[in-house]
Amino acid sequence: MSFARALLRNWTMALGIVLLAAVFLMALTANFVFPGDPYDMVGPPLMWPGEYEGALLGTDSLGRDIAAGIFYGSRVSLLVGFSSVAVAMIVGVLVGAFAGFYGGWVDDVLMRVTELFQTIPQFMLAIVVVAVLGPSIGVIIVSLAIVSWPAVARLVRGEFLVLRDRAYVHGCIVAGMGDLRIIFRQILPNAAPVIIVMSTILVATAILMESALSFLGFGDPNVLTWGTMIGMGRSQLRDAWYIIAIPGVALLLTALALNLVGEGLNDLLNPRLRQRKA
Amino acid sequence: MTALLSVRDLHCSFETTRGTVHAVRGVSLDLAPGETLALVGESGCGKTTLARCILGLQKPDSGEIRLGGDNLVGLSRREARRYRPRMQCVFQDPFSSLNPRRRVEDLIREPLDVQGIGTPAERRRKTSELMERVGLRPDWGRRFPHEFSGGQRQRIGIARALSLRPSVLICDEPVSALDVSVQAQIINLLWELQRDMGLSYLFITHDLMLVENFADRVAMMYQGRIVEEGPAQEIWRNPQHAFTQSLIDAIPIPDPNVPMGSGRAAFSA
Amino acid sequence: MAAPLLEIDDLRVGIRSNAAAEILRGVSLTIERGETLAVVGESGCGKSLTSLSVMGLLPDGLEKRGGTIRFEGAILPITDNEAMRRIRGRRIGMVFQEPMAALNPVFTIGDQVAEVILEHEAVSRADAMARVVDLLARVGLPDPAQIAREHPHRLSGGQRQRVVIAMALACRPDLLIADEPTTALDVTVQAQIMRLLQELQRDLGIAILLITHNLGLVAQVADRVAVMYAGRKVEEAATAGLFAAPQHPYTRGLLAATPRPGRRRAGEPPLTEIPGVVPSVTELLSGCRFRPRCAFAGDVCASVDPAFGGRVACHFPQTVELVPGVVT
Repeated sequence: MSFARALLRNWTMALGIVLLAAVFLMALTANFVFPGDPYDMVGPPLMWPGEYEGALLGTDSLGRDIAAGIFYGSRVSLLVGFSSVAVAMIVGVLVGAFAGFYGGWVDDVLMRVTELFQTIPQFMLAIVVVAVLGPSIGVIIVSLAIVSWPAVARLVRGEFLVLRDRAYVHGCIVAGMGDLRIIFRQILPNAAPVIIVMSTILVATAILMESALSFLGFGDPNVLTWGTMIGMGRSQLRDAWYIIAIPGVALLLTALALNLVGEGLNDLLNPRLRQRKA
Repeated sequence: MTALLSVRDLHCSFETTRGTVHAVRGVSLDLAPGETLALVGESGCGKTTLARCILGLQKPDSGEIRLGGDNLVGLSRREARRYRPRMQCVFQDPFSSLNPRRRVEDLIREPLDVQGIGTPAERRRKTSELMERVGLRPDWGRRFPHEFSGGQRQRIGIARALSLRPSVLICDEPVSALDVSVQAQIINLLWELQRDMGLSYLFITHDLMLVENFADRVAMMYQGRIVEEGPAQEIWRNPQHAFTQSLIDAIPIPDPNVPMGSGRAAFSA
Repeated sequence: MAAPLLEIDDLRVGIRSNAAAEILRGVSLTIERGETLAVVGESGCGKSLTSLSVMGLLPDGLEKRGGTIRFEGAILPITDNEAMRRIRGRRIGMVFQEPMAALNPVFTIGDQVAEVILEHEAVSRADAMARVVDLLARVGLPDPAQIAREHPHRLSGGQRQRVVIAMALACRPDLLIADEPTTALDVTVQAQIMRLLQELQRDLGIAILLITHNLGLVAQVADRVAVMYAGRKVEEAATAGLFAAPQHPYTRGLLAATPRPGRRRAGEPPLTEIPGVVPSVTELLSGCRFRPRCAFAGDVCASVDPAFGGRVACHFPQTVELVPGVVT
């Protein structure tokens, strides 16, 4: 009820959710809307959008349907974005929670390791991982998780540093509660809002990085992604710019949607903005 | 009579960005069964650090903390857990002392779950009994802490602390964040609970007027040491230490006939 | 007869998003030159909001719904920002509960106090600095020249509050609004600060509007007391009369709930409580808002909100002396 009302007031978040839902819908229905392989040739090459009946968004230089590419590409983007962030969350939350809760040498060790990862430029690190382990969806997910978790760890640590000194945490210690229970059942739910907000932004970043990897040719050659499409359309930029523009816009809107949702969640979950009964 | 809680020559210091703070410098005190001992001092005198040491939230440098004869200093957290039920605490800030994401009935029941006391049904029954005991309606159990006023939240905190049937309650400024009329409600509740359950209170406060009305004995803490100790009425009537004297003089007495700065006169009359 | 220094008449303040919610429900107060008026009440009674209204500093989301505030006969807040600024700081000084929040951590004490003087008066920086040192000495700070060079975080809580008082006094105001000036301080420091305020009042003839929840302070420094409850003034009287024979049941309850020397009886609860809680601003409640907590309430209290009649706003004012046996 109050959630629905807040959503109405926050129209930018509503827009983000609609856009995101559309991307999910494309991913789910790709098989039904475009039963064939998106790599198949469906018509003459370099047809502008609307020019050829069989491909509404036109075809690329090999006659492949761009619309089909967009639909199938959304699957890869969402899969890579959400899975890599899920892995990053698990690692980052564990590291950050233990570092923040225990402090001392535990904090020192865990944070030095985290900083080590942060000193290497993210994208370079991702490329190196893919180059070493070979380009496949699984490896790309792992590589993006590796570059994303340090930010999560630092955020979670900061939250835990503040929350572990709240009186209610002392109360739990005095009641004889075990550390793990305090960390995961008492403190973590209170840190959840900031973690959730950050995760949406990280998903957007991961999707952009996956496209960048594919664009540079480090993507999984067996699946068509938006980044691959942009990479392959590069040579026709002057005469057939739509080949790049259409997946580019899809990428832009997805990233925008995730950011809008993240911002909206921030307003919605921010405890400072919530009324506290006097 | 043997003391329930006894602290012997406790020292505690900790590191801050400005160097080592020697907060507690050789404190000894005894808390007898069923009595209220007020620990009084100004900000930075070390009273909160002392409380944290007694509760096992801070490691003392040296000294003893005995609960019913057993020394708690030096125990691991796992070993200390066995003693937890016997000593509980009530905190100052009714807003930060309850986890905002847990329902009231969960908050009160949690210590029972942790210590594995009784069957789930028994714990639930105990929870509503406790709520009634501290003046909360048991059907409020599904609510969250933010739906309550400061005084009601303090009642929740007391119910939670009492769930393990402790014999000692450490109260760290439990009413200083509350309005006068609500403060009286909570103090009277604590008084009633003590009468009915035989609890011992270590009551940490800076409010001297309240102490005179509530405590049996008083320990005055100044710069990490106990400088004066004795029965409340006696200390107020005839304070010996210069620090105690200046403190009592400074109390604003709610009586226009007592001029400012002559608090002692109001008590000796 | 000359106009009073400050005159608040039927001030009403509400929540902008909720037409039914009124936080101040017709507050009237008068302060004469050189006197101390204490406004007491519990959190949410509207005492701080009253002082913020005088300064024209209503928090976001609140709106003035009616009433007038006059300073020496002129209506506040003056819509002309420039003129209002001259009154704030120059004619009315303010001291807050948290001295650290009132000081800017990046500037030295001397710069901050001098800033106030330079803002309001056409003097040279050197002259302003000389006056700052005098002021810091006046508020009882040792080695004022040294303190002027320090940053706020180097001072103790009591010293900071002295600096804030010095800032409030910088332009010799006629009225000092002190909103819980000693709540964050230790009791010995509190006594020093209150003594300082009394001295300053005596020497400079400043009127003080003291906002507090501490009845002990009120008893010791106020000439008159106004008691507020749920956005209204429920009782007002000279201090001695109010403490000796409070008439409103709420005032009586508040005094009875306040710890005081020698009231302890073995086997009895240590304090006398007022049952119930303060109603929230949005709670719909007909008649007197203290009624649910009042032992003397009758049928009329449920329907008619009692008007303020000179001393008290109550249908059944009590005239019996309070709590026999209190040490006086």
